[in-house]
Amino acid sequence: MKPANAKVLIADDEQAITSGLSAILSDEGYTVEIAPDGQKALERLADERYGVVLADLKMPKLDGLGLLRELQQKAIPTECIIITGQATVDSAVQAMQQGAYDYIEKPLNAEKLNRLKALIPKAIEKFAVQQKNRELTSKLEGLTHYGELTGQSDTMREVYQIIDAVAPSTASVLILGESGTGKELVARAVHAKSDRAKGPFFALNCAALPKEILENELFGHEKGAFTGSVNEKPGAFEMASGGTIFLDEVAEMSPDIQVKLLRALETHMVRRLGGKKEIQVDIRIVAATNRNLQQALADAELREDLYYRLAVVQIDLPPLRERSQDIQLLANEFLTRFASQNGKHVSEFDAPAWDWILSYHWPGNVRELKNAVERAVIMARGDKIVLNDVMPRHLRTGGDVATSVTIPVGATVSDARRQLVLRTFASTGGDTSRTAKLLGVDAEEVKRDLLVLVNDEHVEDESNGKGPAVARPGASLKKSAVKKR
Amino acid sequence: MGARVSSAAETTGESGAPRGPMRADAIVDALWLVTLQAVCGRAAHEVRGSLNAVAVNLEVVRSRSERPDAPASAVAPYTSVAAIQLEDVIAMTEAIMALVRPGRGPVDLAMETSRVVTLLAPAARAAGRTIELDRDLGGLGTTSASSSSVRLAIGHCLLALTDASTRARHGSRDAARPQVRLEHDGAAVAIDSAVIEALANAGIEVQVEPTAVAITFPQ
Repeated sequence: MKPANAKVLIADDEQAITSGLSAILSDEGYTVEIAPDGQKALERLADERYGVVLADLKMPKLDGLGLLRELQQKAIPTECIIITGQATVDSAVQAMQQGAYDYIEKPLNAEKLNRLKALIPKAIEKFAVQQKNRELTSKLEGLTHYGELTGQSDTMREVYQIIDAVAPSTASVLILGESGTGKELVARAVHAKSDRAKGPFFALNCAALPKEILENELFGHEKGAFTGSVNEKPGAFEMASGGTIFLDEVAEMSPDIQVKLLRALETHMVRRLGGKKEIQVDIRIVAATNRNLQQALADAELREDLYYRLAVVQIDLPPLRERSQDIQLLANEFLTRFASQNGKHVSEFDAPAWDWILSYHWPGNVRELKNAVERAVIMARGDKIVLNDVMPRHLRTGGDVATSVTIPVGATVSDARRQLVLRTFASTGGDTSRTAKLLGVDAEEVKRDLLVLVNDEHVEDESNGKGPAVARPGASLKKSAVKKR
Repeated sequence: MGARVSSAAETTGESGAPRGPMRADAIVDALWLVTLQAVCGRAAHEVRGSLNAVAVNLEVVRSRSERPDAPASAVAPYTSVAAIQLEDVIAMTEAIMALVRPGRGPVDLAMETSRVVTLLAPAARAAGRTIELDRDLGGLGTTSASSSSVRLAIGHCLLALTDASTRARHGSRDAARPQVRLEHDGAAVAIDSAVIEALANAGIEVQVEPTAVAITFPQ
């Protein structure tokens, strides 16, 4: 019985051989097709799935080795059996090194043909297993990835759903999120999933450019518009026409550019600096900011009419600390990427490193995690990343940061509470507001508890290694550290 | 024939002292052997390809013949292919046998040309090129030049042409003396100057034109 996907492609220019070979394999129950040269074979393989390719080493246009190389480069799934003359065993060895399943030497007498008949089902079986793996990997990838975005948390899934819904429309999109959460990646995903995907994607950071330059970048200028403008220059609106403009830090845009932007969005017309004629443009705007927009509106830093124009659909990107399920996924992905980029055989984080990664509040979000893992990979000396590799020096307080609190039977409620406050405080890197938020209490209560702890002998005992009344030493806290808060 | 040539053809003995000039016909023979080696090398590859095709197609015939209900139509196409391939092999071996045999009397230019073409055409075809014999080639007549020099002229020039061009045609009697014109598609053709010189000593002129190589033989 032949395995599924029992489709064989013969790539050979010798018709007298291919017709016979095709008949033999058809008699064996395979679906056989023939390509008269390597180039044609490659085209067929790109269009259809074949379990096995029988490729002659010498073919016009693209030879067997070239075909093999292309298959590898283009990641086209199939198993390749090379057919070669005796004089080119070296090439056959080279073919095996390049990923050929096997090779058969000419002449194809009865013995060789029997060997070929025995090889093909094995090759097809390998192909089928790998195909299954690819399908599973792809399904798994779909659960955890969306374009360039990574995340499987519910909050990120909501983001993916919004992108799916909004991308095909022409609506402007406003992305809100802290720095480092991936606002530009969301903008790129909106562009990539839209009908404008083949058009340009133009990203501009409104905070990074002085007002005059930003205006020039957006709208362009005519020759002689200002001193030094010796040539005319189209702006982003013209250059990205038919595509998408991503305006990062949009709330930092000066009020007069905001007026021009609003007008361009409403009329689909722009005028270059120093220009007289209006130029029609077809643009979708995706804007982003990490500012508190209500505050910016209240302070009149962002025009309300522009805000409503931009925020037809609003996407709130959660900070990393609010999607803790994604931290491990992201950290592992960055580890694999940077280990490969740096040629290091680092494959995992050790337990204390994981504890810290999962408990740290990541104020710089994904960007900070990415940088931390990159640094850790570079610093790692063995095959595992240890705590000191990944934890920035300024956060090292001299002891391990525990991610759990163990309360022994018999401990008092107040002891238990103080330990919980202490551990949470340590895990946030000493942020009282964040500690309070995580514990669901007032910041004042946290400070009170911490002061009690600081004044308590227990803390000193713990930092001296004598052990507190509560088990498992975690973040050793010095008085000065608390007083600073 | 039999004329002696200049020091270009001189060889040295083991002591390094000049051993004397080679005879012109010996040089032609030596050059023809080198050319024959190249021609046979290409032909051997094609012979193997044809025999390979025979083996594969006979395997189809064998396996299908074992089936009790196999109709003749299930095997007929494959026996035909095998037969055609065997005919090609026979033609090529015949040509080799003829080319290694020393010629006697006047040399038939058309015959010699077609033998070389029989050996080189399949390899040229496999490389995406064609060699065609002109219909009038049969009327080229004979030459008094030695068979080795004729074979060297045609073989060497055809090898050079099939390497450089995608299409070679030959056969023309424009000149007063017998002439074989090897026409090609204009790619640069390089003929070894030692061969041209040796052929000139044998009374054969080789002229390289932009889209042809003209070989003129003595009557």
